[in-house]
Amino acid sequence: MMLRRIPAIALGAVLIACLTVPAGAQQRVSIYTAHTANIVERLIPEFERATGIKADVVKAGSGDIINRARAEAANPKCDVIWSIGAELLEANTDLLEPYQPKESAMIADAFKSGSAWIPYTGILNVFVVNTKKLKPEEYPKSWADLAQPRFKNLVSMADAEKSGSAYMQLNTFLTIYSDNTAGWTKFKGVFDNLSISTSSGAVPRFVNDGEAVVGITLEDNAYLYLKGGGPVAIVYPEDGTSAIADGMALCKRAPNPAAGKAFIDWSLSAPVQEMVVQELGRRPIRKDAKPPGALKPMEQIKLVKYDIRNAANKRQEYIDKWRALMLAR
Amino acid sequence: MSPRWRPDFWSGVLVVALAVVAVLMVWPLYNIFSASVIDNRSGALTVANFAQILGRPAYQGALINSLIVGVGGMLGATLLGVPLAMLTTRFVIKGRDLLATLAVLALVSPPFIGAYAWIMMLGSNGWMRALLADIGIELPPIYGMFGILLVFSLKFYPFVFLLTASGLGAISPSVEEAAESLGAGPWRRFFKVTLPLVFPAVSSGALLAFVLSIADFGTPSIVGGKVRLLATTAFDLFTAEMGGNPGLASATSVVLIAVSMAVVVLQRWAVRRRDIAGSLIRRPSPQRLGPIISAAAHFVCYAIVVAGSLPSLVVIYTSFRKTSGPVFHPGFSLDSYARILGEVPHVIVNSFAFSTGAVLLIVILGTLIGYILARRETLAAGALDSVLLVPYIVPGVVMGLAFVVTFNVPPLQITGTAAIIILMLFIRRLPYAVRSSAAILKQIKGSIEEAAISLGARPGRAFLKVTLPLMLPGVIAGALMGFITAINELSSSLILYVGRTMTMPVRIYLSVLDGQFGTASALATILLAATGLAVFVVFRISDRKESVFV
Repeated sequence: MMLRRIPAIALGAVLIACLTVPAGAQQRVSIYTAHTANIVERLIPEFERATGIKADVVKAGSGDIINRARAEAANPKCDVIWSIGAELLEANTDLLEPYQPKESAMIADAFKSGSAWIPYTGILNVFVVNTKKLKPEEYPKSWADLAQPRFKNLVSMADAEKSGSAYMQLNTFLTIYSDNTAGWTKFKGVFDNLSISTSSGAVPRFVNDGEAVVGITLEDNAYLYLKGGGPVAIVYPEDGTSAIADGMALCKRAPNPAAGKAFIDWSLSAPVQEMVVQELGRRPIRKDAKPPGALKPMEQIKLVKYDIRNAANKRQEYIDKWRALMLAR
Repeated sequence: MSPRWRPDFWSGVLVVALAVVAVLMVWPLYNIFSASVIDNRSGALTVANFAQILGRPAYQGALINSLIVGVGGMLGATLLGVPLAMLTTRFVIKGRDLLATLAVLALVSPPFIGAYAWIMMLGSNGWMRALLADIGIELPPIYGMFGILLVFSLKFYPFVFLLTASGLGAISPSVEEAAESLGAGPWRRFFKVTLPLVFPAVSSGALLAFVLSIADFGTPSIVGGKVRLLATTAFDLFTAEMGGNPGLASATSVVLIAVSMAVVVLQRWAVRRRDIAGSLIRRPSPQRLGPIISAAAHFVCYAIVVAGSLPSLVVIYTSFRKTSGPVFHPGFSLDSYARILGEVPHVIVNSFAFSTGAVLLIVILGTLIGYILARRETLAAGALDSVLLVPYIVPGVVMGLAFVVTFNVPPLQITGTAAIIILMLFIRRLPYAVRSSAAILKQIKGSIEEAAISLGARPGRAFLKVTLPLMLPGVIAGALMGFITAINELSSSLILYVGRTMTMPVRIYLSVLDGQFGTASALATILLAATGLAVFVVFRISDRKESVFV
């Protein structure tokens, strides 16, 4: 009888050891993130190994994370909000505690943000083209080219009312050609060539499969197809495009502010940025980091000044005009 | 029975059943209805929401399109289902069981899987479009009405086929023989005698096709292109109105329910007094056909069934293709399976856990309510019976909206939990279990149980020890049917899910929208395998075979 109990006793002893030994000194950080599971599983162990801090991760959609942080605002549970769209952070700065990371000087100018949050990765709006259907000299070179009759029904873009990226793309066009009547008339030319999808992620799929020949999408979405060996190429419009940051921030009255700051500093460090770029196909936020292999260096791309605050303020007006175009199709 | 009312086991069950139906069905639907007649800003009573839905061209278009889709899906399903039923019951067709099995499999696989499989086949770069173009057949673009009607016709024809086949099997051959001896030719015989006799069965199948076509959400949002329907409009309006009073979404929902209800009433009216119970002395025996006509008949039957099964085959094939990220390469691999197991294992676990949980609830309460409806004819039982018709005509999108509106606020704040999804699956599928258990009970004599009671067993014990064991095979078949529909549920889950309560259909739908066909196919294949296994078990334990599915 006794012999059979030995494994159980041993197991019990191990369990007790596990529970008691680390509990005293262990530093913890609570992270709310919209990152996909595979990225969390790839990066968090690296963080724990590098800093010895134990991370508790809550994973949800961006909107849910903000809602949750707001619901808990009286008694905050989160230390860091990690990888959320810039517009959402900008609209909820009352939940955030300004923090200047150690290496903030290394952040590229294009991604410099407001004071309450810190840019984490860069997102770029690009065209993706099908290389079987178009020869390089036939690629559209600019946003204006997308209005050419030869692209009738062959340009894929998501619905700006449903997709945050598509709204960004509409906004980029209006930033370049102005949001007055002339700008909208010019946009109507592009709009008439569009085939509208529900999600921005599907745009490079349509181009890859030849359902469309040109797509307006985020560079990292298109990069997945390029890396996968699909018949696609990325085009950076000559009349300019926008680069926008995906951000992170310290929560207001965070329970473990020191650990939270450590996590933000770690996320901004060169090796982590390198890893993020390889895993996500996103642009590094640092001046000294290289973009993923096949992508054009940042300084060779013409960027327009994308005003996040204006994008948030004008949203209702722009979406109403977009919807009018949709209903008139 | 004593004249004084005493609470016993069955009265307790009745009270619980009424409470469940009141909280999970009547209350949420009442909230949707009241939201539709309340002004979003002032909170006053208004018809403005309905005026907008019925007055604005964009919404009118949605209503008209929904009617077109309903009628089109119904006609398509009937045009495929009736000939298939005629040919397989009246003539010798080889592999009849195989045809019926494939039809059932097409029936139980989720419709949105068909939608994106057809995109892969008939998209502007699809292999089937290229094949057809080579032999000179130009098809309209898959995105739009053509795609929706194609998917619905091939998805819902099995309802018409199975119901018509069982209807045809119940017509005594002597009726047709009488017509023949009175001088009616084959065509006249068919239109004047056979068709009227089988009309109730055909129209029930057609009705199901109509109601399911206008309720379906996944298919039009994947292949619909610019075509707006009531179901997709309700969902879009709901997301646009999130946080406020969902007045427009609710009004759209009420219109959708009204259309379903009108069609149900119309069908009931059309088949009134047509319930001719033939005294079946001998079953009709299938005739042998001449070689050429036989070959043609076989071709028609197999073409219909294979077309209906193609989407599943395409999905299974796609799930094993070699991928690099989202891009497909020549050759085969388990890449897509590795990715879903790495990225979303919890989605697979959720699907099985939620469906099993819902089915357990359905079996317990459904069996007990079925017993009450079959054995106790009281006013309350009658009320319960008619209320349980409601989920047949309320689309999943609407039920999902009703749940959000009701359970997003105290006293029962359960949005975001697994419980809300399980309860939704439960209430949507409960009536099916109630009906099947009531049907079984009508075949079991009540006197056996009464004997047990007169020997001193209490009512609950008599049920458990005597009646339940006799019901068991039917209950298990009903449970598996419930499981099949629960695990494939998309529209209501899509409204109720949060990240950690995501299910396989929701993830497949989102992956398809994102163009991630590899992972979508792998998840869909797991879903198809689970569904196929459940169908197989139903076939083994039920002697009614394919007819249990309609």
